[in-house]
Amino acid sequence: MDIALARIDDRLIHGQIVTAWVQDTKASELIVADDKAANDEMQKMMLKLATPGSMKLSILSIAEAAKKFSEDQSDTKVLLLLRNPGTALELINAGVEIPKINVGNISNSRSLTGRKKILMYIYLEEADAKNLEELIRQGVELDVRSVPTDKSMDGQTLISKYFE
Amino acid sequence: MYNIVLASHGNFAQEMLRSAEMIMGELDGISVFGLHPGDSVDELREKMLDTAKELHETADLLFLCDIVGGSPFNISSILTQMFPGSALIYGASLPILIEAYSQRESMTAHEFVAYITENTSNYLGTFKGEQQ
Repeated sequence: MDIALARIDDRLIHGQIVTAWVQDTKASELIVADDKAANDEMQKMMLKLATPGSMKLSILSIAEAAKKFSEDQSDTKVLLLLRNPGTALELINAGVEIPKINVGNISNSRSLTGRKKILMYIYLEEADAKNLEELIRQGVELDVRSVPTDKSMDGQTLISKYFE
Repeated sequence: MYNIVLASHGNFAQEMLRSAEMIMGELDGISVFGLHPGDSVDELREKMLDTAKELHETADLLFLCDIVGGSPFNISSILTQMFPGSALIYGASLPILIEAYSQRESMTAHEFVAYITENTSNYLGTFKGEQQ
């Protein structure tokens, strides 16, 4: 499989994905790699509902996704959705090679450690910042933007804004 | 008899309720949800599920949503499937909200959506000026 875009976005599949990003990447399949979604029937229904009829959708646990990426040798263009920097790191640690990750929505959701607003659509908690640092340390290029037409911000700038 | 749940992007649902109250006076028992930039969709879903559970104990649910395919609609449509007797209308508008409130004690949610479908032109229409 060809990962046309890997994206961190806690909304997973939504309007920006199925319009802007699908058009930009020409992906024909959506893969949600997330243990929580894979075990939540209501969320699975929502993800199916949000997927255009013309696209294939797979909702997989991190382990299932790692297996699929290692076994599937086709050239299918895939848009890979990851809930947060932590799940991105888990998938990479499970052996999936992802050279570049788009950082999209990190919402102002409940957090035990508190969140800091960095951009309109990015609220980092401490764990996010640490996991993003680890992704960079492992050589992953981070491209921070909400939609394709946004100006991209690099990962290091995002993280230094958190620690300012 | 049904309970009304409004769900939209941003403040549209909240403000639709306020505008309806300008016309009708205070409207009780309407639940309102908005999804704002930076909000977690998961948390909106949890909140709406809790409210739906509570409201469904007393009556059917009627969801009025802004736009088909958006997150407020997606969540509402799943709740509509989860709670028997519920129904959903998207493309919600002020006249539909006012009608929904007026009929909430005399119709079921299913009867109300059938009624709206039959009488769409009372709520949505066009008017053309002289041709140029």
